[in-house]
Formats: sequence, structure tokens, C-alpha cells
Amino acid sequence: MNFWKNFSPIARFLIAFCIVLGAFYAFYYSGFYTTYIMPRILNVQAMLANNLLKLMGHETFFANDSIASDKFRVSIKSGCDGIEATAVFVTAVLAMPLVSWREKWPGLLTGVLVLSILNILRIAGLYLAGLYWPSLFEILHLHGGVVIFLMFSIVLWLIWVNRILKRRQTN
Amino acid sequence: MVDLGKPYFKTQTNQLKMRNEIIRFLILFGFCYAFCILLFQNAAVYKSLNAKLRVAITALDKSFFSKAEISSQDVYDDQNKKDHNRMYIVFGNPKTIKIEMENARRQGLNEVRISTYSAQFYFFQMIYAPLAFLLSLFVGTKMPWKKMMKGLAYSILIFTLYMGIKVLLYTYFSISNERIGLYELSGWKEQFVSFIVSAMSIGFSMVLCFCLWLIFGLRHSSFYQFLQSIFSQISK
Repeated sequence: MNFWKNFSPIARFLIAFCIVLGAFYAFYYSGFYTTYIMPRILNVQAMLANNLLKLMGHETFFANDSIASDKFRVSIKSGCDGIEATAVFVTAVLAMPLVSWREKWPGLLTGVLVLSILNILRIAGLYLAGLYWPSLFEILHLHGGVVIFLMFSIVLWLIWVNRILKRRQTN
Repeated sequence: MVDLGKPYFKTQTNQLKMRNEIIRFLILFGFCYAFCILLFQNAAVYKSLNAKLRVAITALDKSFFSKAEISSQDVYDDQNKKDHNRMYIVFGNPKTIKIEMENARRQGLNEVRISTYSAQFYFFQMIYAPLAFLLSLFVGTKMPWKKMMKGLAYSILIFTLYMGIKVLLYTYFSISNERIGLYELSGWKEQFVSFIVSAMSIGFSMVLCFCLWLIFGLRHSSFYQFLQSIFSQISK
């Protein structure tokens, strides 16, 4: 424990970030996750995005990890589920030294909720892009799904850090 | 430069400065990423780069899997148009191919069907998108030019090594999967290689690039002072 505390807070943050993220990937690609957890998460995402599209007046239905209509169909796959970007946010919060669990869990809950809502909007948006702007689908899928979502989780972490700082200053 | 002894966020001016720096980073990152993506989608650029990548990937596979017959092939889409962003690595067992060729010659056939199999490589998702992400992270970050170049060089070197390992493992897994009598994996080794190959997805490549930036870029940037000041204030 003393050995760990000999490192500077930034070094502790970076080491913990890389280790926790490595552990996440080991779990994310494990047989247990891909067999038992992933299909359920993808199913829930498909159901929520389908409900949102129905609210917008689209005649869609969902089955397993797919949303479809008689015009277009999208299928949510591992890597396109927003879980990795969410994991980056969760890891960055968990790896943050000098912040207590009591301060971390509300940030974790809020961040995961915000990213999950955005992910549902992203999936519904991709369905609409495929339907109305097919040429943009691949670009939005790759860059919007992976890069922008990852950048968003980093910005969300910065917002959380800023809130922690403000609270400390007020106290 | 910021005095590291003093908390950076003490004043509103510094807080504003940091916010501006984050906005500057996001804008520069966005511009650089968009520029790289547009550049990699330019036919002249990707045709020339992909031709070199194709030679490099084939040579790498040939040198590591020397017992197998390995070559590369073009990919054609549904409209029979050549897809420059993809390539096949075609492989087979030389002994089987030789027997099939001799049989065909004995039977006087003009055409021969040889037992070869393929693995497909998609350059854009595999290499260009993560590379554009890595470049943009460095370009967007405010740091001295020399440090940026050095950090970027180390990061690209590690990324290239990662790509080499990815290519080799993917080819190894594909060859093993086709059971051509060469480089066959079984049991836990097969499961392990399958796990590593599936883990080396585009998401993982992006996160790896982000970690490389954290290691080689962040400590020379103004964000480092930002983080230091955060920790010094949080610890109070």
C-alpha cells in the first residue's frame, strides 16, 4: 500500500486507468460476457431505440439485437454498443485518486445514465441515417459511434472532475 | 508556463484559460480528425497507401508463415468494382496445391481448382481510423513541437507493432481455422488466439491510441498541469 502511495497522484491515476481498462477488456471479450451478458444488453438497447423510433412515428419492430422496418434494418453488434466508451468514463472515475467512493458513485450513475441515453439516441439516429441518408451511414457509424462517443465520455469525465473541484471549493 | 507549485485553478482567469484550452483541443482535434479522414478517403492517397500496405502485410505473413503458400488478392464489391480499401490474404498448403496441379496436368485439364482459403483485411477501420485518431489527439494537444514529434513517433511505433501482431494473429487464426494441415491450433491455444483476435477490435485500437496519448503526450502538455492542479486541490 505504501509502495502505491509513493507514486504521484497522476502516476497512480494513469496506472490504475490502464489496469482497470485492461481488466474491462478481459471481461468484455470473455465467453461469459459474450454469451450471457452482451445479448441482453444489445436486446435492451434495440428495444429502447425501437420505442424511441415508434414515438417518432416510425413503423419499426425489434428482435434480439436488430431494429427493422420494411425499408431498413440495423443490427447492434459488439463494439457498436457504446459499452467501450462508457467503460472509459467509468474507468477514469474509478481510477481517480484522492476522491472518496461517496463522491464517485453519484458521478458514475449520472455519467452512465447520460451515456446510455445518448447511445440510444445514436442507435435511433443511425437507423434514420440508414433510411434517409444511406451514403452517410458508414461514416456516422464508425466516426460517430466510436470516436465522437469516446470523446464525449472524456468530456463527461472532465465535467465530473470540475463538479468535484467546485464542491471542494465551496466546502 | 504555469508555476507547478501554485494551484492552477486558484483564480477564475486560470479556470477560464483551462476551459479555453479544452475547447481549443476539441476544435483542433475535430479539424485534424476530419482532415485525416478526408485525406484517407481521397482515391490518389488511399490507392498509393493501400498498395504499400498490401505489400507489407503479405511480406509479413510470408515471413512468419513460410510453410504455407501465401499471396494477396483484390476484393471486388457487389457491382464487380475493385474495392481498394480491402484485400484478401490467400493461403493454402503447398503440398496439397502441388498434388492438385499434378492431377490436373495428368488429366489434361485447362483449368484447375486449387484448395486455397482467404482472410480479409479492411484498411480503413483497421489502420486509418485509429491512426487519424492518434494523430488528432497529439495535434490537438498544446505542447512543445519537439516533444509532440517524439511522443508521436513512439506512439506510431507501438501502434505499428500492435498492427503487425494483429495481422499475424488474425492470419494465424484464419489458417488454423481452415485446417489445411499447417499451423493448426487446438484446445486452449485456439481459444486464446481467438480471444485476442476478437479483442483487437476498432474500439480497442482507439482506446489503445488514447492510452498511448496518455503515456507519451499528456505529460508534456498543459493538461498535465491541469491534472496536477486538480489533484493538488482535491487533496486539500
